[in-house]
Order: sequence, then C-alpha cells, then structure tokens
Amino acid sequence: MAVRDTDPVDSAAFLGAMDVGIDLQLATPASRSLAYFIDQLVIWLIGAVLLAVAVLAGLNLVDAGLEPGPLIAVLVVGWFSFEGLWFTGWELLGGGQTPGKRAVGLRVVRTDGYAVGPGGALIRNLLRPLELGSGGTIAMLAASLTARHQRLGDLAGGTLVVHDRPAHAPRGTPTRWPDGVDDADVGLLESWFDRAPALATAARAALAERLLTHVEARYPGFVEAPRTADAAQTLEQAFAVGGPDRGTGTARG
Amino acid sequence: MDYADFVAQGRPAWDRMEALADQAGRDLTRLGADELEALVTAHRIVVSDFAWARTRFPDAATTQHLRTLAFRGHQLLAPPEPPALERAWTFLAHGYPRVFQATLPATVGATALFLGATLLGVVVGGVNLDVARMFIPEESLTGLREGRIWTDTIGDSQDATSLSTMIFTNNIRVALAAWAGGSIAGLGSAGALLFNGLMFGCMLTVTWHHGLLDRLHAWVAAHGPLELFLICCAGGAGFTLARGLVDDRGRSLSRTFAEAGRTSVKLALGTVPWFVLCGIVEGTLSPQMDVATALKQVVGIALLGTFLVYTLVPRPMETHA
Repeated sequence: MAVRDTDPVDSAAFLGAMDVGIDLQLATPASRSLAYFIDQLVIWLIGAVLLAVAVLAGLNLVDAGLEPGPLIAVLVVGWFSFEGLWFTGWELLGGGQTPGKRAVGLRVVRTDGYAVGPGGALIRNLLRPLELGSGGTIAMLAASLTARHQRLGDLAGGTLVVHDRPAHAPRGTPTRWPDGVDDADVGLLESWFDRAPALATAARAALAERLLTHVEARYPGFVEAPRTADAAQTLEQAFAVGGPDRGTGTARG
Repeated sequence: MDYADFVAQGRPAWDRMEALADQAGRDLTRLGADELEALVTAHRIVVSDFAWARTRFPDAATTQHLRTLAFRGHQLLAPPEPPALERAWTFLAHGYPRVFQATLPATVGATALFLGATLLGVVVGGVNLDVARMFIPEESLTGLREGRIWTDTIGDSQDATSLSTMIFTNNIRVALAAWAGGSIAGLGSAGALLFNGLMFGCMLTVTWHHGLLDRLHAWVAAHGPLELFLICCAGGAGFTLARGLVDDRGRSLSRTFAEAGRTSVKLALGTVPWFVLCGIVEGTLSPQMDVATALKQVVGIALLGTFLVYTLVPRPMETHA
C-alpha cells in the first residue's frame, strides 16, 4: 500500500529560483466549495441564456426550411462542450482561475507551483463529475483526508489549489525605522500606514495616539519631533512615510 | 542590514519586476530580449529578498508583497512546453500506442471482465428470461413481442448527422464514466464493465428468444466490435488509474496516483477519435438494413483490426532531450 499523505498541512512550498521555497496557503474544502458554487451559478445563468437564444434561432432556421437534425447536433455538441470545458478552459486561459476561484482568491497550480497545463487541467476536470456526482461526498472526503486538501482529480492531475490573493505593496511606505525594530512592529506599522487614510477621523486619531505611545515606549528617542495634536501626522513624520497618497517622504534615520 | 535599508535598496528591483510582469501578462513574448533579461534578474532579487524578509520579518506587509511577486515570477518564468499541435501529433502517432502497450494487461483484464459479464448475461437469460428482460426497457420489449426490434427505427426519427453526434457523445460519456470509476479503487470501472457486459448478454438472449438476433447482429456488426472494445479500453484506463492507489513502489500516494492519472488519461483520451469514428459508422452505415450483414461484418472487423494494428505495432522508444 502506498505511503499515505495524511498529516494535514496548511501551506504548500514550491521550490523557486535559487532553491528558495515559496510558500502559499492551501485552499480548504470550504473555500473550494464556495468557489465551485459561484462557478455553477454562472454556468446555469449563461447556459439558460445560451439555450434560449439557440432555441429561438433554431426555430427561425427551421421555419426558413432548414433540417432540424444538424441544429440538434450543434446544440448537443455545444452544450456538452460548454459544460465540460468551462473549468478546463478557464483554468488554462485564466492562469488557474475560474471566475469562482478568482472571486474567492484561489488558484489551481501544479504541485511544483508552475501554472497548470492542458494535461493537468483536463484530468482534474474529467474526474469532477464522478467526484461531485454523489453530492460532492467523494470530493469532500478526498479533500478532507489528504494532507494538501487534494480531491481525486488533483491527485491524478498533479495539481493543488492554493490561496492567491495578491498582496499589493504597502501604500504608505515608511522609509525610516528604529534600530532593532522587531517583526511584529514592522507588520503593525506597515499595516497602519497602509490603512490609516481609509479610517474615519475619530478612529484614526484614537488609534494613532495609542500607536505613538507604543512606539515612544518601545523605541525611546526615535520620535524626535515634539508631539503635535495630530498623532497620525507625528507618526508619519517620525517614520518619514512616502507613498502614492502622501507624496515622497525623506529618510531621516 | 536594518529594515529601512532593506526596503530602500530592494524596492527599485521589486517595482521593476512588477512593472515587467504587468507588461508581459501571461505571455513572455510581449517582452523584448532586454526586458526579459531584466525580468529574470529582478525576479532573482525578489526571491532572494523574500527569503531574507521571511526569516527576519515574516509578518511585514512587504514580505507578503514579495511572496506575491516571487510566486508570480515563478509561474511566469516556468520552463516552456512544446506547441500544442506538435504535442497532439506526437501523442497520437507514438504516445498513445506506447501507453496502450505498456498497460496492455489492464485492458486485457477489462476485456475479460466485460466478456465474462456478457457470458453471464447469456447464461442468466437462458436460465430465467424474466431476469434478462429486466435489463431491457419495456417499450423495446413490447416491440420484440410484436416482432420488431428497436434498432429498426433508430434511423427513422433522426438524420445521420444528429444521430452520429448523439451516439458518439453518449459513448464518450460512457467511456469517461468507465475511466473515472477507476478513482474509487477501480470499483466504478469494474461496475461499468460488469453492468454493460451483463446488459449486452441479456440483450443477446432476449432478442434470440424472439427470433430477432439476426436483426440485432445486422445493426451492431459494423460498429459493435470496435465500440465495445473501446469501452473495455476505457475500463482498462480506469484500472490503470486504480493501480496508482495500491501500487506504491515505496513512494507517496499523491505521487503514484498522479503518475497513474497521467498514464490513464492518455489511455482514455486516445480512444476519443475512435469513438467519433464508431459514432459516424453507427449513425450512417449501421441503420442501413438493406446493406448485407456480411459487408457490415467486414467493416466491423476492419475497424477493430486497424485499431489493433495501430495500437500494437511496436513504436520507437521515447527519447528525452
């Protein structure tokens, strides 16, 4: 019997350039189900519209004396292809993302992290009807029991589904930092400068005051300028923040 | 290096990589040679900076941004694959026959299972005709009792084009089900082969009982041999897939199953053009009851023979660049 990949992990690491591992969070069965539901909804909507248009056009052509046989053939092949190729087509042309996966922030990739190819996309989607035919039981069981939340189609196709919601560069960029600043404070302050412009004035002022007090206590002497009434502005000056919303700051440290 | 210096020094390369990746989209041919070189250089810097940032500042927004950029570059700079048409041709000319030969025992096993089930159907029908009748729709049974067989009227209600199309799409669905059933430890594939074989055997007995076996023979003679064998091939592909679940050779399940998946899908896909051919024959020649059955038999044997020659003639070994 094969060695089972049963120890669950929450991220997949791909070996990138210079053998550096690029780790991404794996999609959970719940997020995958949500993405599938969105796709199915879109398929039903588009399918209903296409069917109505095809039937109306077909009736007109039959009225004009055309034989219905070829029209039925086109309809059968058209629907077979549309339904069957929706996921494969999107995953190939959309960089591993169907509209549902894009909405939820998921992406199908090969197990080595490269973009999914025709073979992988085809295999995982050919197995989809079987796995979902039982109300999704087989797919949910497989995704829950395998370490990397792979359904059978993923295992056979050599693919994974990962969370890939692109992180943008922080909008407000501090260009001056205290010596020995730790990771938690970097994360906290970058997040603050990124989001502060979008906060309500009162909330922004209150949070800025607390953050400024924290910085002064943790890194004595870093905030050189005298405190002003606007704590947010004092923080921006202390960290020499620059960015699209603020203009370019000047490093002072 | 402190965090401020790290960001200040790295940002130009990160921004450069992001701009070039935006410019390329998913198609590197949109970049000139210099730009491509710049992208590769910038990506290496991004990956290197990401490795440093992840260790020192794992929660920083800059680290998350670098992770996004590193992954984007990883996907964009993937090793190229040969053009699709070239791959399709290579697969049909050499790949499919080679895989077919390598997995022949699975196909033979599937064929044996189907033939065994057919024989069982014939025996069951011989012992108790009522059981055999359960596999045939009531409407068709009524026709049989009145001396008519359903195959006589199939071609009357539709023209050849739509009939062929419906037949081959349906047959491809049956084959896909037989293949996909392999993913549940081969049970689905075995079930599909047993059911179809049993149904075929019962059908032979019931039509023989009503004196209409020659009419059924006249219908299936041209397309039947190849079509039934292709369903067995799809079942064999399912068994090949199932083998990945149980034959580990000391490796992980995901790896053996992925390998079996790739092999089995090649087996299943290789049958598709032949299913289309069968559908065309079934939609055009098979319904012609005024064509001599002997001629249809020759066509049926020729189709199966061509498929067997195509798949079983030895091919040159695969070469790797």
